[in-house]
Amino acid sequence: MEALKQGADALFILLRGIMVLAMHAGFAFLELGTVRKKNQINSKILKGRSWKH
Amino acid sequence: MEALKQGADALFILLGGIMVLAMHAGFAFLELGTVRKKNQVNALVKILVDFSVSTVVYFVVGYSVAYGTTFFVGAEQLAAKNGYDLVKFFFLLTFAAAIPAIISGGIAERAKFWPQLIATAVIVGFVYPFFEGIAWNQHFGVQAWIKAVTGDEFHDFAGSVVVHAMGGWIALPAVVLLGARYNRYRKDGQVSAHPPSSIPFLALGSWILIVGWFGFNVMSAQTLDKISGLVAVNSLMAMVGGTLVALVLGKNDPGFVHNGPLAGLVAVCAGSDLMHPFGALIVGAVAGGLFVVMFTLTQNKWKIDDVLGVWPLHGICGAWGGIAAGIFGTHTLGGLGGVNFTAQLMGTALGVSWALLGGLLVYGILKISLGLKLSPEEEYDGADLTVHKISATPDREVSW
Repeated sequence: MEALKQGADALFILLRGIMVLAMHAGFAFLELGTVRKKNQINSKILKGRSWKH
Repeated sequence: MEALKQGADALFILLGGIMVLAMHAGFAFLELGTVRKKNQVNALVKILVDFSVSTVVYFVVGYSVAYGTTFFVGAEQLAAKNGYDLVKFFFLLTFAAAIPAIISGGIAERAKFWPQLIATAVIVGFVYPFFEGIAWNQHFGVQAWIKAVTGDEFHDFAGSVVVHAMGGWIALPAVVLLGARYNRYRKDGQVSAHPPSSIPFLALGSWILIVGWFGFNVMSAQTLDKISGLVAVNSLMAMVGGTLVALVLGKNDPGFVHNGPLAGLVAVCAGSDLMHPFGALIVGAVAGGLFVVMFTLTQNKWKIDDVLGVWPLHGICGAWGGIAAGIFGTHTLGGLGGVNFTAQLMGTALGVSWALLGGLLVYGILKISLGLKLSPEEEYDGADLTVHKISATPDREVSW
């Protein structure tokens, strides 16, 4: 019984953590949508020196 | 009381299944953002259809290859214990379906559609569950043998090797047999630009994968009484370790920054239930560095056109994770113990070899029989128009 309660409590607070972690994606996209286009990403990558060349 | 425990266990593993199901949206958007615009639709369709083929094949064949139980019994029997066994199948299916989703990113932009579906069916029906049974269900006495030789079994809690290395090392022969995208490596020795179509979508895909990963790892405990906050925090540490190192070594490139956390998470799976959070931070950091270095080498030096870098990400970082569990999981480095380096090395080498062999056979036979690659004209038009007869934003291309 005690194990079940402990597990349930751990799951409960873990779900809270996961949901708030997902909110950070929300922060990123809220800012991305609000700023002008030139500030969406570091403009350097537009010049092509990057990940996919 | 027993009913509450059963219900809680079924809910627990169901939540895991749902979170990993959501990760497949992450795979789709990571690929969509990384490929060129003319191949976006193909990325989306491939992930959903691969998932569907995987479900049918794993339900009918794959699950019994790994666990020996079949679903050819009455629904009454299947619904016993709140249907726990069925939800467990759902959870493990979402892992199995990750294999074609991983491969999909490597062969993107130039692979034929239907031959890839055949490969998905064979891989999820046999290649993947064969090793899954060895690692997670004591098949063929391999685990017992490793234990007899080294003192411990090969430990892979959430699948650094069983899932990620498997996918990455099947993808390597697939990518090599398929060949590079048209004009990727020019005759004058230069690498021509095939830039990503959308950094925001790439980032969205990465975020969806990151969040879902906490279900992938934590719910690998499979019952609620075995839940461990250690798994959650170790995953978190590896994720940020991977991000920060990829940021620095990748010179603030958003592609690297958003693949860094995935590299860390791939590597932490195996030992996430054993390591100390500081150990997990180091494991993730090393994985982030491995990804940046190996991605650059494969793309630019070795001229292997692995579009999303799935071999460096899942293959290399997955193998590193399998081995790292034997280093950072030990008592000496603050872990819970019960693992050793030799056993981890043996299990990892076995998984990698099986994946290479399986990938070579499946894609080798498909290449000879049906062919793997679109024609240069089809590739030039893009997989969207060639395979699906529509682009991602049709109104912009047609004037009516």
